[in-house]
Amino acid sequence: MKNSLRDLRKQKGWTQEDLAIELEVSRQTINALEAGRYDPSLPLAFRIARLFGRHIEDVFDDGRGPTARE
Amino acid sequence: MSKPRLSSPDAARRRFALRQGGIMIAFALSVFAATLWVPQSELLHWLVIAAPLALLALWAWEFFKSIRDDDEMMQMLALRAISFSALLVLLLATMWGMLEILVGAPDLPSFLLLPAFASVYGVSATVMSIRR
Repeated sequence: MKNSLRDLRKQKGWTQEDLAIELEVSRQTINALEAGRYDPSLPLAFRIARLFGRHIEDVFDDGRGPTARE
Repeated sequence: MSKPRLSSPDAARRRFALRQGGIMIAFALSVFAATLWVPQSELLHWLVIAAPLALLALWAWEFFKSIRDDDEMMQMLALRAISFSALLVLLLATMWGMLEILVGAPDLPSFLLLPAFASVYGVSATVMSIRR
């Protein structure tokens, strides 16, 4: 699944380690999420979206629905 | 020098690595003691024998605690690696047992099962982690 996690993190000026601390996950998990190699559980996806003040579908795109939501 | 900031799962994994190292050193020493030293006192003798067994149990507790404290992706990888390693070691041990019965292969000491599992787990968890 595609996501905009890397862009959102960089907008905040955070390192992967900073984001890992905010989300209480490992840095390796952040790396896998950003590379699209791991799809998070629904609770983690909600935590990510809330951290950046976005809706889940603004952060994650499964390629099946409307792409952007304003 | 400032201490590197770590997320809670990363810190838990580092703690486990340090504790595991300590437990393994204590285990090796206790095995040497149990093998080489036969105390006169019956109680002390049993304590020397019980020490490596208790350390193995402590290692297992720390291992499961490290998985419990990890995040969802690392838990998934650990559980996959455990499944794969347990299946492989059980399969090979059972096959070897069949060979013992059928063709008289030498006995496989059962104390090798956990080290075999730990070795396969170490390699498979690393490979899965790199591929992830």
